[in-house]
Order: sequence, then structure tokens, then C-alpha cells
Amino acid sequence: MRKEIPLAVTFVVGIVAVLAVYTGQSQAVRGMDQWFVTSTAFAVFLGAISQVSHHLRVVRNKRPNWQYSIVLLLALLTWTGVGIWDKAGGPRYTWLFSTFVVPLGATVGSLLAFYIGSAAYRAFRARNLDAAILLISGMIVMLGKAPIGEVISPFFSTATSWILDVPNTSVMRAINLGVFVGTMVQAVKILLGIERSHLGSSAK
Amino acid sequence: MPLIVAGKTVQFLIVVALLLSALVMIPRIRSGRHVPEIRRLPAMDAIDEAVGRATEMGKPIVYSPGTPERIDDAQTFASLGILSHVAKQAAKYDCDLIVTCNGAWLHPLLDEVVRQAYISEGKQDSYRPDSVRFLAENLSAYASGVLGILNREGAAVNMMIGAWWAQSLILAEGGFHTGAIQIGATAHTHQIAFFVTACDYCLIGEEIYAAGAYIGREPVLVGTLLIQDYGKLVMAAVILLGVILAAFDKQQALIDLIRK
Repeated sequence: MRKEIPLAVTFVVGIVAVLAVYTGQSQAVRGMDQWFVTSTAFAVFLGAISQVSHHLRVVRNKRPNWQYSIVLLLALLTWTGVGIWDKAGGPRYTWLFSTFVVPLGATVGSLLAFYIGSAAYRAFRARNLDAAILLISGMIVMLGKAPIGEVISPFFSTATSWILDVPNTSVMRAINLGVFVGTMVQAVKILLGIERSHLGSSAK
Repeated sequence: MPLIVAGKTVQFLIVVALLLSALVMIPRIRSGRHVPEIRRLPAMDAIDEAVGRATEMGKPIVYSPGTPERIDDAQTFASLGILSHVAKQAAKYDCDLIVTCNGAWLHPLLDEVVRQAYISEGKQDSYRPDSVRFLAENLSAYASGVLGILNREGAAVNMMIGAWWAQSLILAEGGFHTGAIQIGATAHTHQIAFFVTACDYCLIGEEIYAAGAYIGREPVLVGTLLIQDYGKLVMAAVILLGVILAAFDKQQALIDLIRK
């Protein structure tokens, strides 16, 4: 029964959702969304318990870099306290958000600029024919998108449009079509209980 | 009032056709007919090699199942199947496994998959509850959390398999600089290029859905790949028909039919 009940629930909810979407009974889907929101609220507690217990263990066992775990636990406590006291959107909560979360998020996001540079350096090395084609088309697209490309020659702008609209778009669409069919079949597998790895077991 | 919402009739028929083809084909597959050969997926073959390497080095495997927004992302379910295999291998060889998680709702699922994998290998005593770590819902915080784990724990293997967004490059390139073997997989086309560039092995697009069948070689799961391939054949036929009709400027009838 440990497996059969979740499979039956999946089947019923899945069929109801599919029928609701195609017959215009969107209130049924909205109702299930409410269940999702409610169950997610409980899951937040589980997530917090997981995080707190892991970091308490790190501090207790004085594992390497345990000091960072204290910072995390203090931050977690502070955020929770301020969130309860001030409510999300209150002045203190907003101050914490704009002073810590926004700049820290921007710092991590800005890593992308450097990582794109280092990844492109490795990718754009003409080690074989494929890499050489990638290098040349990459250079054309970069020049076509930068103002200097137009100054050098109008060819770069025309070639860039062709590369992006013809080979690039057609390959992306081919991958997307495969993904679309794969997603549909995956949904059918889950609905029919063929795919049950999320329950900790394989197909039967 | 029409039974099916206008504009969704063809979509609905596709869903019904897939369900029916699954119901028709599964008994045939179970009886041993129509079990197709499955081509090599180097990224999946590399998993066992990567687990072996991590075991030899005495360093952990870090598995990240993507950053899906909701539970209805099919890639997440595909990722859970792969995680189950990785966890079984890790349990078998007593290798340390760290699973990172960005959605609190995903944590119980990941925890259950890993726990069941350890139980199935008879290694329930080796299972550590803090193997699955909820890091943060905020994507930047999650990315920096995974980078921290990769660096601090000195991961031997970095697996990023699931629904990835802009954080894919941060994790893949950050993992590359730690020297870990990297296996990436996503069906999000805009992130595939990052994984192809920064990872040692990569599952591209729909391959992520074939991975579960590839690992277990369960006849039913392998057989469902046939449905996938037939679906693609039908799509290719429709595209070809569209090209021919467009050549004679008669494509509008097909477009109207698809939009019904």
C-alpha cells in the first residue's frame, strides 16, 4: 500500500488536471494549486529543520569552517524573527532585504560575467573542425552584435541575422520538439505509474 | 458549449493518443516484443566511472537536481530516477553523497529517494539524514551554497541534472575550477550550451528523459522510448507536410487544423 496509494493519488489528480485544462474547468486546477501552496508551507518547516540540524551538527563537531554555520544560523534566526515581528514588507524586513539579499544576490549574479568569459575561452579554441566552426560563427555573431562590426562591414550584421535565424533557430526548435515529446511521454509514464523512481523504486 | 476548449483540441488529441499508445504498447513490451535497442549515452556510462573515482579519492559526489519552481516539472522526475541510481552506487561503494536542494517542497522527495536507495542496497545504517541539504529558495543563495559545498568538501564529482535556469553556468564553471568530474543534463535549451561547454559529459534535451530507461534497462521503460520516437516521427511528418503545403502556398488549412 505504501506505493499503491501515492500511485492512485497521482493518477486521479493527473487525470483531473488534464481534463480540467482541456474542458475549461480551471477552478479545479486552482483548487489543486491551493493544496500545493498548503503542502509547500509545511515543507518549508522540513527544509528549515534540515538546514538547522545540519549546521548544528557542523558546529557541535567543530567541522572545518564551522564558524560560517554560526553565521548562517544567526542569519536564519534574525530573518525569521524580523519576519514574524515586522511581517514581510515591513520597514525592518525591507531594510534587511535591500541591504543584504539584493547586494549578495547581485554579487553572485555578477560571477556569470567572469564565468562566461572563462567558459568561452575554453570553448572558442579551434581544436577540431567543429570547434573551428563554433569559433568563426561566434566571432561573426559577436561582431554583428557590437557597433564596431557594422563599422567594419555590413556583412557582419547580415551574417549574424542568418546564423541566428536559420541554423541556430532550426537546431533549437529541433531540440525543443524532442523535449516536448519527451515531456509528454514522461507525464504519461508518471500518470500510468510506469515511472515510479520518485517513490524510491523502478518500473514494474 | 464545446466539450474541449477552443484552440486545445489538437493538444488534447495528442495527449489521448499518447495515453492510448502507452496502453496498447505496454502489454506488447511486457510480452518481450518491441523492446528496442538503446543507443549509448556516454554521460550515463560516466556515472559509474565517476562514482568509482569519488570512492578512490575518498571525496564526495555532489548531486544537484536543478532549480524547478514547482513539482510539476517533468525534468525533476527524470532527475529523481537518475539520483536513485547514483545513490545506490554511492551506497554500494560507501561513497559520500551530498544532494543539494533549492525547494523546500523537493526536500522530502529527495530524502526519500536517497533513503530508499540505501535501503535497497542493504546499507540503511550508512544513510545520513544530512546527505540531502536544503540550501535556499533564493537562486543566487542556492548557487553560492552549492559552490561553497563544492569547494569546502572538495567534491570529486559534480552532477547537475534537472531543470536549470541561469544558475547553470555558475555551478558548472565553478565546479570546473574545483577539478571535479562534471555531468550536466537539462532540457532547457538556453542552458544546454553552458553545460556542453563546462561539463565533461552532458545529456542534451530529451536525453534526460531517456536516462531512467537507460540506467535500469527495464523493458517497460525502454519500450516507452518507442512511443517518444513515434511521436517525433509524427511531428517530422507534420513538418514535412507543412513544408510541401507551404511550397504551394496552401499551408493555411494545416495551420487552422493545428490551431483548432
